[in-house]
Amino acid sequence: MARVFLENIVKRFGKVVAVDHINLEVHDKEFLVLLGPSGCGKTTTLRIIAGLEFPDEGRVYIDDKDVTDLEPKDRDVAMVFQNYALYPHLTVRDNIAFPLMIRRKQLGLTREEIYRRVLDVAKLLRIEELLDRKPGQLSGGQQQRVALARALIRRPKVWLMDEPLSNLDALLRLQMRAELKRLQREIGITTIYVTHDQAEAMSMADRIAVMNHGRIVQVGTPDDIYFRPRHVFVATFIGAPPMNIIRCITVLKNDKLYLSCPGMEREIPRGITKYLRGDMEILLGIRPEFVDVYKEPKPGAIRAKILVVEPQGSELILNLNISPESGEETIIKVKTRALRRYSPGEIVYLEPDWTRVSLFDAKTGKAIA
Amino acid sequence: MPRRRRTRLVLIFLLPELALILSFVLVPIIGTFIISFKTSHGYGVGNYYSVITERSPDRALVIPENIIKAQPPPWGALVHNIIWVAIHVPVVVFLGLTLAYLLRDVVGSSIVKSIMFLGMVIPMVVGGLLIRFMFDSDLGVIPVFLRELGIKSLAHTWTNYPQTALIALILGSVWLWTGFSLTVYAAALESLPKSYIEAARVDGASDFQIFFKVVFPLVKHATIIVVVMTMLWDLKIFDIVFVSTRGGPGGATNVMALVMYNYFARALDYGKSAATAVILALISLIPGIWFIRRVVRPSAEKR
Amino acid sequence: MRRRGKKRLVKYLVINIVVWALAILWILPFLGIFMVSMRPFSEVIVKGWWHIIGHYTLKNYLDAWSNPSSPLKVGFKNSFIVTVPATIIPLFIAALAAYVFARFSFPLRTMLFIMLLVIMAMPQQMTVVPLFFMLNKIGLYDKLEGLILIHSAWGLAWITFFLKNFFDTLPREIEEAARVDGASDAHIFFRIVLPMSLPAIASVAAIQFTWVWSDFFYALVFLVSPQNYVATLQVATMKGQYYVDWGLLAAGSILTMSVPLILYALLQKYYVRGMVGWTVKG
Repeated sequence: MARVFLENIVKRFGKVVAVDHINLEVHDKEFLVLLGPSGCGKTTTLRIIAGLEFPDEGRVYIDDKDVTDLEPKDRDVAMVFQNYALYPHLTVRDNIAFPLMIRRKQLGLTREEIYRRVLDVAKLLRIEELLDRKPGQLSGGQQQRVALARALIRRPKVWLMDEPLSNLDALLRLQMRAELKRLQREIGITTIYVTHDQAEAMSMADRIAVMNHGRIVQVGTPDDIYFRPRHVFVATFIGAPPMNIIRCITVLKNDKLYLSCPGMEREIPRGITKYLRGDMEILLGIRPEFVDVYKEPKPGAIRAKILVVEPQGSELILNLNISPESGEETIIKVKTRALRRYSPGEIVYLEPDWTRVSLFDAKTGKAIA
Repeated sequence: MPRRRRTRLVLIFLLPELALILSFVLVPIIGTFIISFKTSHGYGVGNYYSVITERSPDRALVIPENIIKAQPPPWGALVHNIIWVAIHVPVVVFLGLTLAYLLRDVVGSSIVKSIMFLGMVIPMVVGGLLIRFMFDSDLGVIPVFLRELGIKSLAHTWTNYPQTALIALILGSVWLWTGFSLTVYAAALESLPKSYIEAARVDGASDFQIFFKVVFPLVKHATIIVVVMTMLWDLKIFDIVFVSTRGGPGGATNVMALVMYNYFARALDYGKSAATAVILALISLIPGIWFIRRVVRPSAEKR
Repeated sequence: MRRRGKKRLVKYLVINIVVWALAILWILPFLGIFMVSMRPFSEVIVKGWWHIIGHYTLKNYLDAWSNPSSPLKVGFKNSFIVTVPATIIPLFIAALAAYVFARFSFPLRTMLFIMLLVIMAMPQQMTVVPLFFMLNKIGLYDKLEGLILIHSAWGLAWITFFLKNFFDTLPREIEEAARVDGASDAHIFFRIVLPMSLPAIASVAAIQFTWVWSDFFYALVFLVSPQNYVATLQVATMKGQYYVDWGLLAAGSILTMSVPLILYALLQKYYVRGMVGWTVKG
């Protein structure tokens, strides 16, 4: 049972506003990922929850208790650091035991009981053979597990993780992702996880909070974030390659609203016209995955010229100019299955899945409807 | 609440240090200033005037009386300190860097380094005795060697003759201090990426060009440290002089710190003693401030 | 190709010979004083110490150790009484202060730090006259306790500077992890930071010990009674003004420098790191 609630948090470092009026609720047993580019304030937010930084404004609640002014030790949280922060002079056993040893008298535990619990946790993370070693003798992956064990042993209310996988090599990172998620499910512990890696966020999170310039831009499930970005920043931050953004204009013709883009024009569906007027600048977002590619002309399809072909194994990424006639280049990327051969210079015809496109106001960047 | 906790911690952790430094370092330093201006008839610069114009060879800073009557040495303690710096600093820089550079190709280089470093480990009093020993006419390697070569004029105990005493001590200080320079340079060279030297070699530079045009500029930071530390050490040099010559013969090896001590312990003239100390401190601040400015700039920017 | 190789070999040999010749020249005074200390002076003065064949004896050492006018055994005892506390006290106090300088910002921080640097550049001579009056007033003149205090205070500046630089290199995350794990400030400092700093502490201890042991100036100024003399003072008094008994002096010198030399042999790595470290980088 642990909920975390941030209310209007502001943190400044000198003139820089690192965290700018953040409101966030993390549900019990939830795996919430704070996602954003470096310098967006996500680590500072995490450190404020941990009690390592104190906010200039706003309150932090854990389980409806105001912990804003409490020291980390009085918040019942555990944290895993990017560089693991293992105590180099202690054995693995004593590293894991540390949080309990500190509170031994309070908790009324004996050394033996603590070491028994260390063994339990070590078994869970499959590091029981390493208990007598020092951190310096461990591989990166092993250090990672020790750091997790140390964060686990106390059964804290909240688990805080600051890019815990970013120092691992690619393969290990994939394994640990799955394992971390499994652990979190099994134990059922509220987790706040900071990363700049959107793939990590998508694969692990129950909900993602995307941050930029110290603000939360969107909070939602990975599906929400992926399919229904509320802001053009989210659209372009998520996805590999990210969403194509095409600058368009609305045109009012015969009482109907049209979206006029380089290389195409299309009627806007009735459902969202109420948010729009004529002559508005609109950003049209199309995910590279949701475009069909045809070699033959097709009614309504967009004519495009292939510029570059990037093979990706089972898939291809095509870089296309969708307004080859106009003389300007409007480039989009399209991901397609590598069933056919494409070559640069070739003309193809594109049909986006219009049910899955996004529209953003070019001025505010916010999604329309 | 967190801020208050932090303030308490800072205070508790700083207090013992500040108390000790204040009472046994800072207050005495300020006290020396004050005493240096105290004369028998009130406060004034009288002590400085008499210290600087003192002519007796064992206390003179700049113009000993012999300078008119006879050939120097002595030249005066301050001049001796300056001569010391002028010879010692370049020799130590050159020897230290050259050795550190050559040692990369020498068998048993770590043994050589350890031997050179011995001078840094032993008490300077013993260092002074060893210098006296090295230049002893019967036992010292150098006079005996020169005698074998037939150079009779230098085959005496160097520290007993005004013409050779100062240079003997300076050479001795080279012997004691080169280990420091070598160690600093060796560490600097170690942290230097090999690719710089290799790139220069590929570009066709000769060994000498590499040494002077590539290596020397790249270890500039180490050079500054060696120069500053050596200057500070030379200016306050005392132990080796006291124990080997006591500033003699006839004031030929007198140095500032010794003059200060002589006013203090022999003449019991505390005002002049303090004035000499202040002059010594002010001169030491020239390399000192140079060093401080290099250190403070980066650390002041941090947090 | 071959000529180049030969040229390179000649260069290599020349460098090795020159450097080693220099090294031998450097160690010669130590060898000489050792030979003199081990043999009757009458023999050394006639033949020279470089004649290896002759009598070997420990008489010089025994004489120096319990010399009637300046017995080194008393000097050794006094030196240890001064040096051990004058190493431990400033190390502990400066470690506390250095940690604050490295981790917290507080008013006057930069100014206090500059003050430490200025003190590091000051000659000891700058403190002597007022200290003489102060020690007299508080009854610590000509007392080993007075010397302990003065050495402790004088060592604080450089030790703080050195340890602050070291603490700057420690990753903060480890201390933060300990805070989240529930450790108090004192616990973090004593049980996490200090154990991690053992190499730096070893360097500081080795160097401060050597400097205090080797100190001559403060001892000369603040100790007057022969029974309070430290080892360096006694060796200096063993050398008469006009006649030098080199056998006795050699043995005394070797005994006096043996303590820091043994320390150096044991802690060589920390010595060198320390000597270089406190000067390199701010």
